[in-house]
Order: sequence, then structure tokens, then C-alpha cells
Amino acid sequence: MASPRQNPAPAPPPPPPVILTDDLLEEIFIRLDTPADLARASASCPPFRRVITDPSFLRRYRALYPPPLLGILPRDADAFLPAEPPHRSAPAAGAVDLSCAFLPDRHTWRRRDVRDGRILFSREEEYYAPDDDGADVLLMDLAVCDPFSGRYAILPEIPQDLIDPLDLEGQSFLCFEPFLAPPPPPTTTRTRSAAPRSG
Amino acid sequence: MAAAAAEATTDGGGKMIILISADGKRFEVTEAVASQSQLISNMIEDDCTENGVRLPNVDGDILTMVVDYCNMHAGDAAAAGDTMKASSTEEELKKFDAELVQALENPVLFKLILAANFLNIKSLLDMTCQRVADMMSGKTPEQMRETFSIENDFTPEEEAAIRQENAWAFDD
Repeated sequence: MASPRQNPAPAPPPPPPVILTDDLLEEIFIRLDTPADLARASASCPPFRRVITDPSFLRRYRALYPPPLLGILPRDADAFLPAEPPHRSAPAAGAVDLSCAFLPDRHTWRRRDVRDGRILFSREEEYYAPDDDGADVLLMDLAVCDPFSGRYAILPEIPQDLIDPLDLEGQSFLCFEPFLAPPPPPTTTRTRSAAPRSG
Repeated sequence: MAAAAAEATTDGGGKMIILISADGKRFEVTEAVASQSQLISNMIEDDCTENGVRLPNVDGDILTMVVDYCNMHAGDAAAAGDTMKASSTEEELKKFDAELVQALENPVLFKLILAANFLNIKSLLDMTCQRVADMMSGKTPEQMRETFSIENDFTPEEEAAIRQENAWAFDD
């Protein structure tokens, strides 16, 4: 059958790579015990990134490996005392902007709470405005920042129908302390919460 | 043949079953050894192993390793242990496990992961996945791609953005 014109037979294709399912990739990635390994794996290829950035995987990962200590935030100051070498978190701590300078009009915001790598800010002073009855109404802005990625979300206003049932008795929202609620299992939605300030 | 073998018993009295790989290789093991596979354990409970257990997803060379592993670890699973010849000490087991996974080329290791998953042998799945994770530890994305023989399907822009977002992980 061979003829002079015939192209040489193509080399046999290499054996197809063994394909691991997403479930099995997850079983491997869950055993990477440093967040840096996980971050580098997520930069390897889109399927890895898809598995690693899946919220259910990240919840599982975080449950197994508590977030590393990056540093200390003094309660009433904007200062941040980062982890320093040779602490294993030092490279990550150096990359974090815990002052959240990326938040627009940063000087108008006040840090209120920190939880699970998110920082809650509020601003209120300049938002006092009398309502139709002449009473002071406080419109409090809340922002949740991720100091790692520099992303932030300004939360929507509290709807009036949630405020109305509260018997504020002339108190303003300044009497309330916003905080980041721990995620109720199994969802991790961070809710905007307000609880009366005690004392 | 398989049926006859299935009736046979070992010295210790354990009933034997036949496992048949995708390429037709036959492995005779005791039920206690095979039961480390949850899949086969369920089949034994359901009484459907008389004619041998066909494992169309598992090649003979991989099944050889799986059977070796199960033989070594049968002592774990057997309660009293006196029916099992493989009453290995914990240290021997650790050594066996380490040598088993460390000697493997990656495609074989991945096939072993697939087999452990299909057969539902949790300890083998744990061990093989841990081995891959250990190989990834401290590696750059490029080295990880080599480990897995995968293409980088990110556009340069996408990869730059991901590296930027996690720049702290790439400093060392």
C-alpha cells in the first residue's frame, strides 16, 4: 500500500493524560497546608482555579485550616502590627493593606469590626439629617473590606420597614453597634446586623 | 473457574473472591482483604461476587498495587487478626505505604487515585492525594503544570491578574 507520495505515518499520539475529576482535585487541594500553595495552584490553570475558588471548597478549607495570624490590630487605632520574619505569615502580612486605603474617602470611615479576614467600616457623622417631623435620622453607611484583594462592598441602606418596628425612643442609630456576624452554617452570607450597645 | 475459586477457602477460613481487571487479569483475594474496598464490601453484602467482580475502570497493573495494598493493610481491618497472614506492624505498613507512592510516576499515581476513588478505599485515597499535595507544596505554578502535565490555558492577562491578586504567594 505504501507509495512514494504517501506521507510518513504520524507518530503515535502520546497517551492521553489521566484526568482527575473536580472532586478528586478538591481532595488533593484540601491537603495543601499553606494558603500560599493554594494561591499558586490556583494560578496554574483554569480548572484548578475553578475548584479552588469555589465557595464550598473555600469553606471546607477554612474549616480545616484556621486563617493564619497576619498581625495585630489595636482596638482603637488604625495602626497595624504585621507579622514579621521569620513568622510564616510575614510575606502575606506585608502584602495586606489593613488600613484599607483603597476605600474611597477613607478618612470619613471608622473601623468597627474585624472577622475572618474582613473589616467592617461605618461612617455616620455627616449623614445626620432631619426627617419630615424634624427629628434627627441617622443614615449610617457600612462598608465591608477585604484587605487582601483591596475589594470592598458598601452595604445597601437598612430598609425603612426594618427600622420602623424598632422602638428607638428618640435614640439614634449611634446607640447601636454594627458587627460582622459569624456565618451561620451552611451558608456564609455576611449579614448586616445591629445590636443594642450594652451599658 | 471463577465460581469454583469463589467456593475455595483459605487456611484461615476466609472466603475467597476473584477480582477481574479491565484487561482481564484475575486476582484471588479473601473477602476480608477485598472488603477494604467499600464498593466490594457492599457487593459481598449483596451476595453478588460469586462469578468474580469485574472492575472495568481498573487496569491490571493498577489493580496489582491495590491488591498489594489491601493485603498489607488487611491486618488493620480484621478485628482479631489471627485469620490474616498479613499481620504487619505499624512501622512496616508506614514503610510499605511510603515506598508504594514515592516510587510512582505521576500518571500511575493518578490512576491509583482514580482506582482508590472508584473502589472507595478511603485510606488509599487519603494517602495518594496527600502524596500529590506534598509534590505541589512549595512549587511555582509552572512546576505544578509540569507535575500534572497540564497546559496553561490562562491568557497572559488572566494569569497576570491572578498573580497580582495573590502577589504575596509568589515572592519567595
